[in-house]
Amino acid sequence: MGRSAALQALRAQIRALEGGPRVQRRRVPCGVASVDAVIGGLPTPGVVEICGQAGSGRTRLALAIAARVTHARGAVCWVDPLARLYPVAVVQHGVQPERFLVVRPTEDGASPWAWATEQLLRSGCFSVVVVELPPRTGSRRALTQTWARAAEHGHCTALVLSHRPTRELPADVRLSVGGGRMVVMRDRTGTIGGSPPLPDWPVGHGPLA
Amino acid sequence: MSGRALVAHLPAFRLERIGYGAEDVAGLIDASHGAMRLVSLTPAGVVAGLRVGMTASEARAHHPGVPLETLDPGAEEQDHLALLRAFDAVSDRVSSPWPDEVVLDVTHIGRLHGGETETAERALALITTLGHVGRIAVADDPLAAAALAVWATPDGGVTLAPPGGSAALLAPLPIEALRPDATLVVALRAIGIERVGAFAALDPASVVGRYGAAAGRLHHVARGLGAAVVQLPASGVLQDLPSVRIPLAGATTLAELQFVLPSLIGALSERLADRDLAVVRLRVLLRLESTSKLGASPVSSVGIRVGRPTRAPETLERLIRTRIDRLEIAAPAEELCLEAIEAVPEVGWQPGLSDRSEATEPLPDLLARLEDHLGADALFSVCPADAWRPEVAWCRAPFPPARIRPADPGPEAALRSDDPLEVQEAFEHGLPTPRPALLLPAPQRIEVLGAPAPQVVGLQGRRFSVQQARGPEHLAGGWWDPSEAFDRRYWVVQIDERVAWIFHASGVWYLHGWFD
Repeated sequence: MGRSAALQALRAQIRALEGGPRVQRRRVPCGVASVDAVIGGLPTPGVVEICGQAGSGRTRLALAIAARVTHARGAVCWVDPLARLYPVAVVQHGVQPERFLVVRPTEDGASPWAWATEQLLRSGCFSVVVVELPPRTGSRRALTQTWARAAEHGHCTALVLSHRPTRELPADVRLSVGGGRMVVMRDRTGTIGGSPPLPDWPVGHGPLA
Repeated sequence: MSGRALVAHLPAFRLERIGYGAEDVAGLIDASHGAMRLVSLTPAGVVAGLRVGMTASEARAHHPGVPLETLDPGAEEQDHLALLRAFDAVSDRVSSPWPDEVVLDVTHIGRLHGGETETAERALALITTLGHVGRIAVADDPLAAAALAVWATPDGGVTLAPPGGSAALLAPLPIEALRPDATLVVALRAIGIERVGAFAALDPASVVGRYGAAAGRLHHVARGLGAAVVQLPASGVLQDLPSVRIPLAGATTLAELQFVLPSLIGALSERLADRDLAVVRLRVLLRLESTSKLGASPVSSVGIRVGRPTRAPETLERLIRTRIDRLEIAAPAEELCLEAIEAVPEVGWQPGLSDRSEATEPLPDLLARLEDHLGADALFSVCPADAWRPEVAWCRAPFPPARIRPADPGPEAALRSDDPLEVQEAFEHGLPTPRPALLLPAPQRIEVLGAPAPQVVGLQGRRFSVQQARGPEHLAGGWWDPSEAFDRRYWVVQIDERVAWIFHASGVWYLHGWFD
C-alpha cells in the first residue's frame, strides 16, 4: 500500500471513529467557461490554488471568477496582505463592488492576514475568499491546513494565489497560470493536464491590443 | 421655527427614591478610588457643606450623624426607567442624558395640553404626584433649558424662555451652567469670561477656531440659537448603567480572567434583558492593585464594538475572548468589569435575502470582530474616483453599502445603442484603458533601454527583451500644487510572458504594476 493510500485509509478510519457527517463536496459552476470546462466548477467546500508569477494572469483569473460570483448574488472577499490589488482594475473586470470586500490588514502583528483569512472562511458569510499568499510565509503547512478546515466549516471556496506551487497546501485543485493559459496540475476528482486559455480581458481588448 | 425642549430637573431624585426628602441632609455613597465616596447629595446636604467626592469618613466628620446610603445601581436604574416611562404621558420623545434631569421634546405638542405653560405645569404635577421635588424649564435647546432649570428656577417653579429669547435669560448665569469641560472653564476664566452673556459676546469663528467645535456648540446655545429639530442628547443614564463587576483577589494570568468571564457575561446579559436592551459597544476594564499607597488603582481597558446589537451571551463571549488578551496585567488584578457604553432597544435581527444559509456568524458581527483586530481601515469596498493620478483613482467605501445600486449595464451595452451620441460617449469614456490588476504600493525604479519605445527592461538584476509594447499613455496633472504635480508616460510591455505597466517621468523609468 502506497503512502497516500495508507493516509486515505487512516483518514477514513478516523472519520468512522469520530462518527461525524461526511462533508459533501460539489463542483459548483462559477460561470467562467474555461474553468467550468476544465475542472467542472469550483470545489465547494474546497481550496483552489492558482500559482504563477506576478504578471502571469492569476489575478485576472481570480477577478473573472469574482465578477461572475458577485453577479450571481454571491459575496467575495479578497485578502490582500501585500496591499497591491488595484481597485480600479477590480471594477474594470466587472466585479460588483457592493458584494466585494477587500481586507488589507494595517496592524502589525503575527500574520494578522492569515488569521483574518481563517475567520472569513470559517464564518461562511462569503461564497469565495481569495487570498494572495506572500512569497515568504513561514509554516505554510499549518496555515494552509487550517484554511482547508475553515473552508470546510464555512462551506465556501478558498482561492489561494501563490507565486509557486505550495506542496503543503491540501488543494482540491491546483492551477498553474502563464503564457495566457492555465494548466491543471492537480485535481482530486478530475484529470490533470488540460490547458485552456485564460478568460478574455474584460474591457473589450487587452492591454496590448 | 426652532424646536422646543422641556427639561425637568429633579435635584434630589436619587435620594428621594429611597425615602429621603430634599430638605433632609443625606448622601449616597459608592466605592471609588479605594474608598466609599459621596456620589449624590440632597440640596440640604449641599447647603450643609457636603460635596460630591468626599469620603464617607470626611462627610461624617463634617456633619456627624448624616445618613449615608450605599448606591444600588440596579434598583436605581429600574426607578429611573419608571420615571422616564411616566413622562411618556407628556411627550413621546424622552431622554435622560444627565442623572438628575429628564429632557422632553415638546415641539408642536403644546396644543395637545393647551399651550407650553400648561405642558410645563402638567410635567411639574407629574413630578409632584410621584413624590419628588422638581423644576421645569422650556427653551429652544435642551442644554439651555437644563441650564435654566438648574440655575434659574426655584424648586417647584417653571421658567419659560420664549422662542429665540433664551440668550437674555442665560446671560447672567455662570459659565458652568452650560456644562463645559474643565479645560474650557479654565481657558475662559483666563480671559475673564465668567458669565454666559460674556461668552455669548465672543466672535463665533474665534470660539470655534480657538477652543474647538464643542465650544462652538456651547456658544451657539449661549447666543440663544436653537435647531429646527430638537436633538435629544443620548440617554447617558441608560447607557452607563448596564455594567457588571467581579472581584479577582490578585489574578495575574489571562486564564484566571477567562475563567470568570462566562459568569460575568451572563450577568451583563441578564441586566440587558431586564431592560430589553442590546449592546452596541462595550468596554472591558481591569482594575489593578495600586503600586503606591496614595495613587489611584491603575486600570487597563479594551473597547469592543459589536457589529449587530446583541445581548446573546455566546456572541458576547466570542467577541470578548478575541480581545481580552489585549489587556495588560502589569500588576495583580483587583476587579474585572464589563461596561456597556452604548446600548439600543433590542429589535432582533432578520437575515437579508443575500445572506448565505451556511453562515455560522452574522456578517456584521464578523466585520466588527475583524475591524477590532485589524484596524478600522482594514476592511473596505472599492469605489472608482475621478482622478488621473493612478494611486488616487479609487477610494474606500463602507462594506456592505447602505444601498445596493442596480447593476451597471456596462460600456458594451452603450456601444450597442441606436443613439450615435451614446456610442460616441462609450468610446470616449465608457471603454477606459485597461489598468493593471496589481499596483505596487510605490513605483519601483527600473532600468530601461530604448527610446521612445522600451526595448529592454532590467528587473531584479536581470534584463528582459520586450516582446510587445503599447504606449505611451500620457497622464499628468496637479500642476497647481508642486507636491501633487505629476507628468508620466505609461507603457504596457510584455516581457518573459508577463505584462508590466511601466512609466517614464523626469528621465527615470519606474515599474508601477502588473497586468496579472
